[in-house]
Amino acid sequence: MKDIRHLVRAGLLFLLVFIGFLIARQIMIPADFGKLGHFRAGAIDDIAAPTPQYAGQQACGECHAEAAKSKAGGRHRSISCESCHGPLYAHSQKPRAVKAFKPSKEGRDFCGRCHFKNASRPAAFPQVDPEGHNTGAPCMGCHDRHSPKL
Amino acid sequence: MKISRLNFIRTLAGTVAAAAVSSFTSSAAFANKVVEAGKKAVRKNWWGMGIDIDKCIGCGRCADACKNENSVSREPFYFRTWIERYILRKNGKAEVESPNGGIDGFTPPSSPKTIRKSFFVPKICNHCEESPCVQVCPVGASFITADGVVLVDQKYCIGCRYCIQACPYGCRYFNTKLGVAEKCTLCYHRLKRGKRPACVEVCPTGARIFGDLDDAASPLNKFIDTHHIGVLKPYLGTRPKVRYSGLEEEVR
Repeated sequence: MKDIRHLVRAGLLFLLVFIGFLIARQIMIPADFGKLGHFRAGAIDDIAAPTPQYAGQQACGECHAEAAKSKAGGRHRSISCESCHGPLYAHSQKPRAVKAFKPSKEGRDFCGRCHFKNASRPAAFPQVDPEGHNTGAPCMGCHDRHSPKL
Repeated sequence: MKISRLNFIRTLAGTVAAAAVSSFTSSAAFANKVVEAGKKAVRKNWWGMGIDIDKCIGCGRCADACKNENSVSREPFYFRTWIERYILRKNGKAEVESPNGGIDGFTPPSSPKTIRKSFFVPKICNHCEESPCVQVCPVGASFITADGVVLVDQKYCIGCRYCIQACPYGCRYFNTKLGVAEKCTLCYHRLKRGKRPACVEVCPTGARIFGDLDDAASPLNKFIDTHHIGVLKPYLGTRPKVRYSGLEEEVR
């Protein structure tokens, strides 16, 4: 009998540690962990929570019908407005408070980002040599920004 | 009844082992069941991206938009998407560069007469079906959603950076401010609002195509049907969901 008492003591200690482990586990693992897989299901909502910065193409035409029309007929028709005008979700929510970026005030480098001659670009893509093509003149002096083909 | 010390220990050990095995198997079976149920019940889309190398002009708008949309640090070496330029010289040498991820664009390549071929390759998380980064995460902070997007739970990540080591495509970075790993979310917050990822939205030449691989009529599947498609490092068996057209063997 004397020997069993040692084992009972060891068993109780084991049980205590095990219960402690179960309690700690209960507290530390979020309730939604494992609901959809080996991760916290709520993380998906956390990641989907931030508001976008770019409004998307549809939003622009709702107010700027004229610009949308001039673009629709030109070579820049498939380019999203925000490609040149920057992120505009905030502008679409508060049009007066947040203004869009206006590339028309930028120099030749703005257009050149896409159109300056570069041997790495696809050969069929319209490119100009900045040195040989009306050096120094602003692009938008001749080219319409939304429908640039002359 | 007299129990010998040896027999008692034997019985105790046996009971504990049996309990451990049964609880482990039952919880594993339960977990598997939950995962299977989740996969089958929720999979409505299987998001992916197409990249047409023949259309990329290296303007860097995508990398810039990504940083705007996802508040990625403007400092170098923090990229969720970036553009690489490949220059294959006539002497057989290949050069690869990505100055500031291509955000500021690319200057014309040096000594153009020695160039055999040059092109731009946009890179982004491949949202692999068999993601090494998800497999190595020790805490379940990296995971793949039911619609096929590989994400990081910032609250659960312990910042061990194992996933950054594991990604064969270099698509993760360590956010030193938050102490967590970060990566492309395929603009998950935009997808949930019916918008395209920011990089796809701003690409002026349509070099990036976004869509649902499960939907035969999606723009992405149309792109895949009409182009010769490859993926990066197919031999690794990661099954990327970013599909490239015009991929050269030099591109890894």
